[in-house]
Amino acid sequence: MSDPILSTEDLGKTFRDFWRRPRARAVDSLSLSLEPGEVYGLLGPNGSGKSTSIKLILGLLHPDKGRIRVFGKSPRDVKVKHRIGYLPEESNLYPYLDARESLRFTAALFGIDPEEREWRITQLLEMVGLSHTGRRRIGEFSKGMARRIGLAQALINDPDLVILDEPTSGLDPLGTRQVKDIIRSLAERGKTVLLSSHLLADVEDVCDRICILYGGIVRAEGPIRELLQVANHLQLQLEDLDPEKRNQLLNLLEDMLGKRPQLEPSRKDLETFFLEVVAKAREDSGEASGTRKEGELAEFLV
Amino acid sequence: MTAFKAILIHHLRAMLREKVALCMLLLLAGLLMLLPSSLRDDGSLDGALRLQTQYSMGLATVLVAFMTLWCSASAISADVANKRLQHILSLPLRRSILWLGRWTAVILLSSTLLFISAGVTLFRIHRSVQRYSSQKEAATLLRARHLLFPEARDYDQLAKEFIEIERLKGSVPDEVSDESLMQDALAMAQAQSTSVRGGDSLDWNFQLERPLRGILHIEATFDRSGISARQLPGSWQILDERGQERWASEEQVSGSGQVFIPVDPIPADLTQFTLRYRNLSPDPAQVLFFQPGNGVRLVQPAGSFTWNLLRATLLLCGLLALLAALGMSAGALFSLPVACYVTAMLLLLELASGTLERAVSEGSTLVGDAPNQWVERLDQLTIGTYKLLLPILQPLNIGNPLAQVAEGIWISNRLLWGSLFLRFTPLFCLLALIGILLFSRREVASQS
Ligand SMILES: Nc1ncnc2c1ncn2[C@@H]1O[C@H](COP(=O)(O)OP(=O)(O)OP(=O)(O)O)[C@@H](O)[C@H]1O
Ligand SMILES: [Mg+2]
Repeated sequence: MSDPILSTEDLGKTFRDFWRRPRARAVDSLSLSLEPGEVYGLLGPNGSGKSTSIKLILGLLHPDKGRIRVFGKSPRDVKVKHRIGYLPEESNLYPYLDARESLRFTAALFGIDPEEREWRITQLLEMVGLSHTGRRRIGEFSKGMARRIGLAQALINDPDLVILDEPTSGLDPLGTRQVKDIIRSLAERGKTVLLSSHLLADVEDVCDRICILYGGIVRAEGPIRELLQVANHLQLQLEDLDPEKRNQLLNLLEDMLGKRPQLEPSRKDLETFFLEVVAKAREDSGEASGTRKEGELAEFLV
Repeated sequence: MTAFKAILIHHLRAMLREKVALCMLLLLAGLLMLLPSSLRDDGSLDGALRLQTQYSMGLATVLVAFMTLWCSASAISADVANKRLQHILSLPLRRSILWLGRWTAVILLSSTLLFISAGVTLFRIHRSVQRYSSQKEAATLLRARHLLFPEARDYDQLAKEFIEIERLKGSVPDEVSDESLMQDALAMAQAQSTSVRGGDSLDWNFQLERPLRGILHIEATFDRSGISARQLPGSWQILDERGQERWASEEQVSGSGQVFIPVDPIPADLTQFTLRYRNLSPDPAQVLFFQPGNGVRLVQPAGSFTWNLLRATLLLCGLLALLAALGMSAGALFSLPVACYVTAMLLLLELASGTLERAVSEGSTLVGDAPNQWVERLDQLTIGTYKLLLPILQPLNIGNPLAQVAEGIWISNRLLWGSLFLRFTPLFCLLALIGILLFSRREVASQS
């Protein structure tokens, strides 16, 4: 097995007040190990320590105990940060910059040369559907629009490790869908993604492995397929069955099992339905002033 | 370097777009344009000069100082409060670069505003010149001068010698206490070294860093005994170390007030010499009293008023740079209001450093007996605190450079470069180092 991209051992963090008295135990004995190309989900209710774990991994907080290695180095090493893309929990961007300036600033700190920088920015803006905002300041953006800029910022350096703290919060279902697609395609390219969320559907769709935190302690951990398997429970899917055949089938099953099984029409999930409606609306009435149709995945990320 | 540049440009843009600079420019414009027009000067060019430099430019400096305080204190703390620092510090950026980049941006903006104020002040002064004065008066007033002061006299030594002589003469009564004897002797010594009777002479010793060159004047301020309108004849001499005369004035007559005597030709290459005034009146009762302190000084033209004001502005920028360093460091550790208080305290202490120095040197501020011992203790405690603060404030005490410019005194190289490099730079390095070290150790969570 290759070296893990990110590993933590027995990580612990307790927030203290001015007099060093413990105030909140945010993370306790967290041990993770992320392999290249893996999408890892941190799950947990509010205040369970997801964001704190991420800040520890980024070196923004100092652990009380335990060890963190990112690309085999300390997270506070500046070189390590060149390979990380981070989307914070709240996208507080500089309100007086426009989208392009904001991305330019981030790119400059990554030392990306100007020509490459402009190219990447154009593609990222296209990708998150904000290329038309021109000189509008980020301060005027809606929450979801700002969130999309945050996401573009996190990807501008074509990072090997992408850390996303609640990436879909504030996003519309289209944005959510796209973020999930981006995460999957990043993973296919061998990038490692660590994301936190309490939106279970999102996590379920994209994560290979998850860990459920509660009170800062890992309560469950493993590959998502294994965790979600229900023993002795099977599902049968049938298409286009006429009423006569259906009755025959039910009778047959009743004879075999000794009890008549439940039969329900198949439903699409709300996400699929929503996506269909919006797609149709777009065809009918063109563009609106918020986000527009999201583009393809940025070329430099493909 | 790219990171530094990015931070610098980004922060400058932030301050410009948040209208800090615009707001300041409007305030300064109001101050520099409207204030002098609404105040009435005494109608002379000298008065206008004083008003423009000391008051308008002085107030502009205070305004810019407060802007510097706010901008530097908020440079990092505002990002903490808005949870933006988390993102910035997740980027490959050293915290020292963040600190230095933003400090540079703040100080660039402040210095620019200060130099713009200086420019406007100069513009207004040149307009005043056209309005008020003859070209000749303008030419003298708009020149700055070097002042060369004689060595301070050791009054203690003089007083002791005086007592010794009086003792030998046997003219000291036994019942006089040593303390009051010394006080009288000191007063005597001071009087003797600032006054000269008819037929007598008085010396001042000069020890200069650089040999005399160029043009030189003697500037003497004095008073005379009696109310006679008659003028006293007197003469001036410059003697070298060996007591040889190198220059002597024609016989001069002096009334009351100030005289301005050209030294021509100048005795070149002298660094150590004695200036002697001889009272040529045959009557010993005709006494001339020189103003104590700076009654006699040598004056050399140094440079234009414009240059002098710009030098003073540069010196003030140095002070602002220090203020900004303190603001940055405080803002990197504390929340914005706390950082502002801390920095404002320093600014106020700096402004009050003269008063503090006096409080420390003159001791208790209470007159007579303290009402009770607690008050007395409190007083001692205050003085003790001042004493502790003074060594920190001493390097910041550069007097009042704008007042100096208004009086036409050249901001010397020693004051300008000495303060910038020998006093401010080490202090800046210390503040920056402490600030950056503590900031680097700081956790960046949402709460501050
Ligand atoms: N800066 C801080 N100072 C003190 N306590 C903190 C701080 N940040 C977080 N905590 C505490 O640590 C615990 C975990 O917080 P954290 O933000 O990691 O939760 P989370 O899982 O991200 O929650 P959410 O889903 O709401 O984002 C909480 O009890 C919180 O109050
Ligand atoms: Mg969180």
